[in-house]
Amino acid sequence: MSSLDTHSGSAPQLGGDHHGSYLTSKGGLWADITNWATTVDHKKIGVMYLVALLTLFFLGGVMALAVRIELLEPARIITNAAGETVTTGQRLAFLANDGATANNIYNRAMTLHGAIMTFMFIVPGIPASLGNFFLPLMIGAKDVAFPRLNLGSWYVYVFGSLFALASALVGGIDTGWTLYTPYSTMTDADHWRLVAMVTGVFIMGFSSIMTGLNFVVTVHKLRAPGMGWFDMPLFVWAIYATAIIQVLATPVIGITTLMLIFERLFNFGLFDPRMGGDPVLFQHFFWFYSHPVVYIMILPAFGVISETITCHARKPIFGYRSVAFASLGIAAVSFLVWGHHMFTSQGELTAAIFSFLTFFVAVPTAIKVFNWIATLYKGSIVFNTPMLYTLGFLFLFTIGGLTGLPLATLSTDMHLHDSYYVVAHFHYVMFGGTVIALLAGLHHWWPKIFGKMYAEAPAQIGFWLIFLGFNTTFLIQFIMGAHGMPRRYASYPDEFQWMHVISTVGSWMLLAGFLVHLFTFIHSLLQGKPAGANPWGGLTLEWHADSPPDEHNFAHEPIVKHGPYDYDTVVPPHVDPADYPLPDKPASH
Amino acid sequence: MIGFLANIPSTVLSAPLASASLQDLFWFGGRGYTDAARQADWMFMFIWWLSVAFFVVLMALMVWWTFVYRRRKGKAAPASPSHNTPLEITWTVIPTIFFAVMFFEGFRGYINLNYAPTGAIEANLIAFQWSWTLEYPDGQITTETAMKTRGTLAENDEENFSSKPAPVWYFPEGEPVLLRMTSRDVIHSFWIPDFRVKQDIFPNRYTSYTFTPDALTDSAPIMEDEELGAFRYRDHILLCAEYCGNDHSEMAGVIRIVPRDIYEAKLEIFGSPRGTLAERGRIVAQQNGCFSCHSVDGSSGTGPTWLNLYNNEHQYTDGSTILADDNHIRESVYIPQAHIRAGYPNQMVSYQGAISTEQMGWLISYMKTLSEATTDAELAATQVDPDAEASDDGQSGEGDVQDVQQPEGQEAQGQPGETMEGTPSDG
Repeated sequence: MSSLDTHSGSAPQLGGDHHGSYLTSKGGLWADITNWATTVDHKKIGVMYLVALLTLFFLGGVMALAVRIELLEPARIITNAAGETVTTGQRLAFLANDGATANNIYNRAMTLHGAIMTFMFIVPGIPASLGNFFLPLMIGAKDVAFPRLNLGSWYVYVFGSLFALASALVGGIDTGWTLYTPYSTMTDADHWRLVAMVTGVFIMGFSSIMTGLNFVVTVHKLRAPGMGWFDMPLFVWAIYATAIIQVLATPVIGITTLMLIFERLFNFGLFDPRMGGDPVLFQHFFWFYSHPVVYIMILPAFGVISETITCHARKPIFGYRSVAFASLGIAAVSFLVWGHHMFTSQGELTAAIFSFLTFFVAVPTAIKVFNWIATLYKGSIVFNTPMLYTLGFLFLFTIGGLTGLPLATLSTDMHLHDSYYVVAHFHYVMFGGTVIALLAGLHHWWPKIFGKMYAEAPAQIGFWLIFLGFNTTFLIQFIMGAHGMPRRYASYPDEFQWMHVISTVGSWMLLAGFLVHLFTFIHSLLQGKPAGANPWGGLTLEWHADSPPDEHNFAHEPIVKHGPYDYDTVVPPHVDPADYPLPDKPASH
Repeated sequence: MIGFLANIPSTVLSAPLASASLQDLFWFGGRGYTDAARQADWMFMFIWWLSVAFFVVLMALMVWWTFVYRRRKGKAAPASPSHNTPLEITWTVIPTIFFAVMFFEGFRGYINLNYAPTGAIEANLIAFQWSWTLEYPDGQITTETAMKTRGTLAENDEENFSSKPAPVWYFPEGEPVLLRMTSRDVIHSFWIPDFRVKQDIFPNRYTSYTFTPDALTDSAPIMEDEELGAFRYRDHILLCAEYCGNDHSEMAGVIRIVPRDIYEAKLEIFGSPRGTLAERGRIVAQQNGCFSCHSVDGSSGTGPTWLNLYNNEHQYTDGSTILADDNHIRESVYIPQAHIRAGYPNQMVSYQGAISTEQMGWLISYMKTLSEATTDAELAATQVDPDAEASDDGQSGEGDVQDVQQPEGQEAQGQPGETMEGTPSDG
């Protein structure tokens, strides 16, 4: 029997603080628009971020589809029936014009895919959406520490993305999302588009810093009575570790983007050898942020998985403290390994140091995977969409992590660097890791966020399309890269074609899967079954709140009397106890 | 003990001429063609099989437990401990040990891939948007091209080939090579997949690239050469591996391994300019990557086509109309930003220093052959072979030291050589 005392969604109780669901209309379209536009409610902000992120994910996905369509065939110069020499196989050539050849169009699509997905989708990603919504709920708070700062972070994100989108919509840039100098400072074709895009990145960085700062203070100061550090859900630990990185690392990309803008506008010469600068300096600055940023991407995903696996296997996490400390350890070591993106452009002592340090970050990551799998042992596992995505994560992220090993190893990286092997590796960790975890979390928490269930059968179809489509797209790319296929190639030697065709077909399967999910979610919003407060029998605090939660989250401040994963001693709230039997003998801890 | 373990890769590599194993074919499409490459492949396979083992065990447990412990209505999950210190220590220590092996052996292999033994053949490699110039020790530059694919030339259908032809660079079997590399513009990267190593190339310093290619075996294909007879060879494709703009994917080259005497003979051929003035001009264009942007058949590209360019008037972005005579072509090559053709981007870099005065003349001769506006007399003049007029052979001998002194960029020219049907040619 739960020892929390919150409003359960049935008959109103006397006492306590009820304002109605946060989604309740204020009466009239204009009133609603104003309400959402000026809200400081973390739930509304989280939902706005979610909608924006998913929209940008689709935009970045369209770029990816364009890239993969171009790669169905290499460019070939042939003599056609009329005896003319023509170039075939360039499917994006119809977009070419005086200033942009077919290859240039491809390079823009490739760059925009990376820039949109990285800066506009995956970095805000889980923290801005699920983190915003669930961090306060999970610690029993009414909101984050600085609700107005939270709204500020949303508007800064919107403002920054306007610059980036403006640049993209008028042709974008072709430097690759990594913006390496001297190409990005010398290329004349896109001066203002480049400045606009980089300005957008600069501005959006502040949104990340604001969110991170907010979350650090929230975790320190707003936990409900009874929730010590080691009573927090692991999602909170994950968001906390992520927030630390956000605050410490993001200023570096801020200064880097500023340096790049000044180089272009005022010819500062920081990266220009003719003025005593060094183009590789840019790489150091860029990767000093961009390596920690991949942990901003993956740590929240780890947090989601810790929640979904415990809830849907109805088991305490194996090795709670290991997982918690591993999150902090990963955050710390993440700042020390940036040079492993540059093994072919630095001296051998530097390379050795970075290779050595990179293996250090592999250890806590491996430990987490072992802990999650061990959590399944003697569990009570249900095969719903969140669990399928959780298992999918374990499969895909393990591949992503293991394929990082030849990249950390110097002798093998000499061959694999800047090849499709790297492309496959980072898609397995970022897509197979973060996006899959986001989908797990979305399906896990959808009833709580919107108060509606989604149809389970189509959601599972969506899972299989995405899981199989993802592997079809990216598994072959490991082999392609090791065979000699470089990255960022608009065309390629003939012998790679069959592999590219397989990969492109996989991208179409992915599209189908995402469309299935899109329609399933829309259907849920329009016609979904109303969800109860705790459809999955979870033990973390958000399941005590209503579905969707009351505006102020809880009727009374919760007093925490049990851990977040005590599935063997505590019956979850708002459920039929008959469905949630406890084992006779509690385990020795 | 550790020393013994460190020697295992070398002993495994004791059969350098063995054919590719199944796992080599699966992962790399072929074996590594240097000792250092095979050492790196050994490391890769070590990591691969270790990964397979861990992955299979982890996934088997995951799948098995998910089924065995699936939810049964009304039945509780049995209680089980949620930590086990000995187990957690074990699964921390064992991966750490494997990682240590990967790091140390990886570092050793990296040194072997990147450091040249003494006595290597030293050549200069200049990368630029979007091709390469390799200068042999005495300044020679190749005049040959091949299709950009991994197969041998004989296998390629001359009618259908991927994109543009790539320069062919000859090197002798079994001998170490050291390339000193620099860039004229942005960062590029030199990658020979068969040698399993790449190195970035910068505009502000030199980086080096080394390989010692395996000897030719009896399974190597044979090339019939008019001048040099039949010889065995082995081609290795090379690719640019750092994004460098529009035609990043068009910067391939071919490393051709041949017997030592053939290598020396080729260098001699490259070192002495041959052919008509127009032919020499075509070689200059090819060596400088002109065809990356300029077609000769009227098809569009980053730069204006050379078809019917010479001696015709053209429009420029500053509103002027200019006749493309000798002086204008010279200006377009040395000071391209002076006048930009209408409808084209201001992207061409200057070739001042890369193309000598004599080569400029040959280039203009070549362009004359591409235009209907060229007079017959001019056209006839381009078909003259300067060497055919000399009383003695005039061919550079082996000790042609006086050809060596040159500024940056190439001075030595070459003859048409074994160019393939599809290369841009006059008419």
